[in-house]
Amino acid sequence: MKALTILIVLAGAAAGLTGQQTARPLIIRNVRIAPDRPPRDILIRQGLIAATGPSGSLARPYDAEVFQGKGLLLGPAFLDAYVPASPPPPPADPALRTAPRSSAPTKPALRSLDDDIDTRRAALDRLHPARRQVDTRVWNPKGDAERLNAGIAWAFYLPTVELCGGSGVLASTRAAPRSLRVLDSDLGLLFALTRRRGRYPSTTMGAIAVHRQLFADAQRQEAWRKARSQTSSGVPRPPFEPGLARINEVLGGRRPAFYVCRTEHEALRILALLAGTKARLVLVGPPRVARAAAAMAKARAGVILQAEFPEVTDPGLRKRLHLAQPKKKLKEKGAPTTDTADPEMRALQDWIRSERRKVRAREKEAVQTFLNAPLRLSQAGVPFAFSTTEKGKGDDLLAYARLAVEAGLSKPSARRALTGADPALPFFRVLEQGARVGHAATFTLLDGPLWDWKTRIKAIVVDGRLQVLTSKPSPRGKKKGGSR
Amino acid sequence: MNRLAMILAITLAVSLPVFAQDKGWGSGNVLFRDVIVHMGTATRPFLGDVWIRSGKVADLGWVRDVPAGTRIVEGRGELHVMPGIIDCHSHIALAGGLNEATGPVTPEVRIRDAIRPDDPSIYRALTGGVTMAHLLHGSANVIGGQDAVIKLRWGANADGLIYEKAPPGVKFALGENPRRSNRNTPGADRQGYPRSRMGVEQIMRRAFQDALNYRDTWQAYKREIAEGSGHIPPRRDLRMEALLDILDGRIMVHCHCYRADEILMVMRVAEDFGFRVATLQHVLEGYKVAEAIARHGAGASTFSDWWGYKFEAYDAIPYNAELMRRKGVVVTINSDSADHIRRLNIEAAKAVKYGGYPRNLALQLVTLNAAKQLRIDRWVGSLEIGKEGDVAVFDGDPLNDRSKCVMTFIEGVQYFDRRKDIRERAKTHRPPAKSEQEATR
Repeated sequence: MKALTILIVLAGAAAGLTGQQTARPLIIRNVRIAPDRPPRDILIRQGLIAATGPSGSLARPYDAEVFQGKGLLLGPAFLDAYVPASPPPPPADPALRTAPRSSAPTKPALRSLDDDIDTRRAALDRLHPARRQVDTRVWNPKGDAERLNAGIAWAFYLPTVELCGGSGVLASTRAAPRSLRVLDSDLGLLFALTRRRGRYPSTTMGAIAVHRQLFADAQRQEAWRKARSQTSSGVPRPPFEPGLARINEVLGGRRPAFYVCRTEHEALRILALLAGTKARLVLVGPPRVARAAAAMAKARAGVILQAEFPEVTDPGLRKRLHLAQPKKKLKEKGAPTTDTADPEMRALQDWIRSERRKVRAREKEAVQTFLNAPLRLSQAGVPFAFSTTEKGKGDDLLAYARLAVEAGLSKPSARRALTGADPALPFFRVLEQGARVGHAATFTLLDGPLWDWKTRIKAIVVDGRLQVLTSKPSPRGKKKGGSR
Repeated sequence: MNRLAMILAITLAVSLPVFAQDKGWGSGNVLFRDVIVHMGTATRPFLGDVWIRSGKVADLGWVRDVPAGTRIVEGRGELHVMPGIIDCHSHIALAGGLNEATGPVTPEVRIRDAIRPDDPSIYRALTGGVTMAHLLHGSANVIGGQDAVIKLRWGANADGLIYEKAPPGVKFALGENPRRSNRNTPGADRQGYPRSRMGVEQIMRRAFQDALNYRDTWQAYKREIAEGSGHIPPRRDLRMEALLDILDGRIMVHCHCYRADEILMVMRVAEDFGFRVATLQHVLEGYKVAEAIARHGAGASTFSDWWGYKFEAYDAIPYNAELMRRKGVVVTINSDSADHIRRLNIEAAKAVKYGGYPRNLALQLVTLNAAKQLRIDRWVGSLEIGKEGDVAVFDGDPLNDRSKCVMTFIEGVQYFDRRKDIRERAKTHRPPAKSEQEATR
């Protein structure tokens, strides 16, 4: 009997859990869609906006959940455009072993680049189409709960950085893994100038050489395929490598390439590497890559700008970045006073002041680069979206957009960057923006205008599921040394 | 009062262009007047003018009229003007590693893909009158990566630094480095090949033989195409293509070496495969085989007094440069260091003082001869009419260790000014303000 009771309780709990996953209709009442329009009601059914109407005009379905949105403003949901998180690999597939090892030399021997099997095979295996399978039953990307709290409804998950990293997955962010909805499991391929100690390539120039070689291989496979299709007989079937076919998709512009870079010089090298191809390039990097904005505009490349807040200690600069001020250190009682009459002590103090000035100058430059990056990209006509960093927090995204607006970026541009709504970026065709009937119900509910620093996100709706955010966000930038 | 204001206004009007020139760093038009000119050739230094117009040397001697807007640097017979110094062996301005040491043969990697234009070493080199540098791959593998020749246009991006007129080169390395590096590479096979100097030679020979086989494959394919039977091109191998470019002389070889036996070995391998070694780098035992080097046609880029840092660098003498020159070898002194690059004129002076090198030819060790070794002497390396206006200005004889480089120009555009540098330094290292001093009391 006792066991039966436990079973019933467990079943009830399970039903409760799954109940959260089922799509109950939702009515949001008295919410303002724009600041100057009267409040409206929104009915959400099956994850879609089913109807909207003046306040009080929509009848409540019998099983609908009601949320009072009085005083709230309907705002956009955000996209975190680069989250390094690989979906769990698919089951081992012998077909993944694509590169022949027959030509591997015996020791001692000289290796041709073709024989750098490990590098090449690993790179190509990661581009294998089977890699794009996403098992959402077991995949729970780290940090999604925090992203939801920051108003981020979608994330673009790219594999952990490798020479060729594989497919990017665009999905809704959910705290519960089973409810994660994949919008596109193969939106683009990740590339990076990755180097490894003791293995080829161990240098940046080596990584570029590997990419050049892979591109040459891919072009050969394509040429072979074309020759076979154009000639009636005599051309044997090429040894098809799916990874190379995927690279050809990138070189032919049929699939975007996301290239991770850390500096503007790397960005320029990548642009040079893909010059002369039809590749649709999206560079992923910190704000300093925006210094190469002119070259990016010329190459029609897009950018995913990581909200990598500079580490600053200067109180003025921290205030400018809306970061929390570090606690003041209390002076120790009985600490020896410095004798400023002592010339050595004076010289030491002068030196300390000089060093502080240098540090401040460096921090100021870093802050300028950080703040000007979105404006610089916008002025050059480079489409861009924001992303968080591994060290940062979800609310960095909105904070960076607000700072960019303060630095002169237009609000529509900042909004596009926050939501991935730039038509020139690959996210645009996948994400449904705007609270229109028939669209996916994904938006935020704010207690004020989006660009006001005092405005908080009160609730987020992702695919029709409401999550009320009650916890207060912690003060930003309180980590050690002001890092984020 | 009005007179005072007028005097002030006139003073300001006169001084403004001077400040503007300092800040603007010129447009490529500059006249060095009343300076002691070191042409960088065998010509003796002379008192005269050097006129650079649109980035090129337009006239030497006594220049009477120059167009309006030309910047004039008054030497008053005290400033010495010499061609910009060219460092024939450097590893500055590189990002992401300079040794692709994961295999003994990696000529497909290119230094030009990893140039870091914001490396402060570029500016530091400018302070020593250096205007060009030959950036080489490291010496950890037998056949390393391809090089890049750059002009030190501080502030330009990587593409803006690269001197496209310079033919490409590749770094070879002999001796202890490729042996030791191969053994110590983390993750690499500790019994890796090569472990001996004999192995180094065989690595080269096998690499070139593989490249020739690769060429045969392509030629066979081309024959099939001509006959109408071939459809499938062989796989392109960038490594083999780079090796073929070496064999065909399209990529010059700059070989890191020390010992005489190895120097002979690498020249023998090159002759067997039908190409020439362009320069021997370090080449501390070059004096022992200078005739053979001259016969082969290789240049030698060495140190004036830097040796003894490993076994193969023990048997070195200060007369190395002079002995090789006497046998007809084109000799240069290089830095191989982000520190020494600032004092290459002193390195040349040391070759005179300790090595018996002719004084009138000493500056060529770091200017014209370097340009010859890099096959760019048609454009740079000396102050001759029509050549590019790369100039270093010293406040005394460049071969005097008390002299300082005061200005550096690249194609007539100023990239370093000692006075301005000192002013800028004073800004960052300014003494504390009075109020700060009082506050600390």
